[in-house]
Amino acid sequence: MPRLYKLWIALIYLVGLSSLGVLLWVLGSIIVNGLPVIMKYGLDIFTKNIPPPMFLFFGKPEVGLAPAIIGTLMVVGIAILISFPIGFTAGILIAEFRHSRLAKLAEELASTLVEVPTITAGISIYWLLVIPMHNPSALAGGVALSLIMIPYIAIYTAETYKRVPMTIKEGGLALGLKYSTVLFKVIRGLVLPGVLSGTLMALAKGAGEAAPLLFTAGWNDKVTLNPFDQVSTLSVLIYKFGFSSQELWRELSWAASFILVFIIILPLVVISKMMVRRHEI
Amino acid sequence: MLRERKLKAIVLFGFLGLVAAVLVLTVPLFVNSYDFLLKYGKELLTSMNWNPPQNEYGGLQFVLGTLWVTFWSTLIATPLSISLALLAAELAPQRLRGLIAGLTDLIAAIPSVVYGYWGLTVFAPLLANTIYPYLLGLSKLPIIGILFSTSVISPQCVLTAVLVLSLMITPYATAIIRNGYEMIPKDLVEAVYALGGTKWDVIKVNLGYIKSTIIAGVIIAAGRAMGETMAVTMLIGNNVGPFKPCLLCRGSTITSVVANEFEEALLNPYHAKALTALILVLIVMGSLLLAFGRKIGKKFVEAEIVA
Repeated sequence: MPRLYKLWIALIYLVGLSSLGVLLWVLGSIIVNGLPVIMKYGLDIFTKNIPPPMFLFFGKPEVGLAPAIIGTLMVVGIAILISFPIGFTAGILIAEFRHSRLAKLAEELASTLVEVPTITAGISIYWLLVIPMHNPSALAGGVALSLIMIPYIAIYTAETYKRVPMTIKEGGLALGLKYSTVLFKVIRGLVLPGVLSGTLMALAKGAGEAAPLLFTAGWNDKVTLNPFDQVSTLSVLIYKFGFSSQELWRELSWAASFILVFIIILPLVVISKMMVRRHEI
Repeated sequence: MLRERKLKAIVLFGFLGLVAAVLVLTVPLFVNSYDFLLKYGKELLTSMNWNPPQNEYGGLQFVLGTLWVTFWSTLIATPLSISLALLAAELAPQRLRGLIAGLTDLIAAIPSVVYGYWGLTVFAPLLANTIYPYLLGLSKLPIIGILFSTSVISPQCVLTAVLVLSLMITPYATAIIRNGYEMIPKDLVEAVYALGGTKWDVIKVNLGYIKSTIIAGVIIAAGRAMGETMAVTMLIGNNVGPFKPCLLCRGSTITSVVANEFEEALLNPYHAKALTALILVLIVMGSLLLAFGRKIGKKFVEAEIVA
């Protein structure tokens, strides 16, 4: 029955291409709805404060997303400061001591962290930090995000170190070098792209998360650089303004979606993928 | 190698960091819900009467809602992701394969809140104006009619959440299945061709060969759907009433009720603790699902990160 299988293949084409089509439709919508808003307000979007909720009563306020952009950078920055040291060293444990019981346990823990729904981090950190500190803050949001980013860095690091051929490591050891010197100096050039790629992926993942930040990072329509202040982030802003019936809020949600996806996340992901592709070990 | 104190201290730091992260993630949930669980634990999982101001905490509808949404979105995402993976790994012209694979990977990075907002403003109104009125007509049919019986069509409903969710998890499952497909030994493919097989025969043999990877991919995707918060909360309609096996109705899940109510819940200590307990229930549900998946799939952890 040579005809019948062609029908199946046609069906696969249809289903596959149409799902790809819908996914591209999502990306397209972000451009079509987000870009005009950014063009309309120009650079103000990146430099001005978020209009306060009562803006209708106070004439024409400034319209921008600066607090959410800075807030996103702060929260993700705090998160990477916590998650990189832990993730990187845990990754080395998982790769270089892979036969030890500790490494196997570490692998289990890392996969637990990936599997737990991200909103969990928001609730736990709420009880752990927001209640004692009496206030949501960039710090609390950063800690919540770090829990989500740690396993990404750990597993990317481990995969990268595992891929370095044993012969190269043994070469270093045969010269009488310490194992730590081999790991951190001799093969640095080989592992750097992989580790950086994992770090960029973790940053991209963290920047897009809203659920862990809803109850931990708070809200702020002004720019602040104090980690103990509340901050708004692009992801939380999309959620909060998205439900509004006010045209201006919905416009800002689209602009925030555009900035988040096309200026922050996709460049990070693309650079991350290019790094590993160019430096295949 | 063995007597290097510095290196040992470094990796021990990493280990303790992971332990601390897992503790920070889970311990506050137990600490802040055990007295609630002692008092209302049974009610939470057996009743569907959710009325926190009256201290009634029946949360079964959220558990069932989560399972319901996960089931349908996985059911829809499975054929989509197998088709996409086959296109990217086997069927599409060589030049387009990389493009399809790259695009699905990039799309996987779009945050769920953005999918939610797109669903809310673009997709949901479109569905409510075009397809949903026809589906409502199906409500007169016996048995399957119950899926579509609702008094009013609402753009935000279970089906809207399910459709957007299945789109969101498709790239994850696709990446895992594609990875498995690309690792199939070439000998196998050549053997099928040598026996006079067609491309279709090759696909059939290959899909059989990576069956466990496909199941792993689907289960990981289901796990994502289960814990997904933002898009579901924005699209499902957030009706906390008793669970109905319905697709056109407004519904709720564990994540949607937590995202919606946690902020106001802080006024009533037991309300906040009830939501915390629901998160614990969600974690248990997810672990059961993935434990089942781990039994089947081999390289599970790597697959999780690929996605």
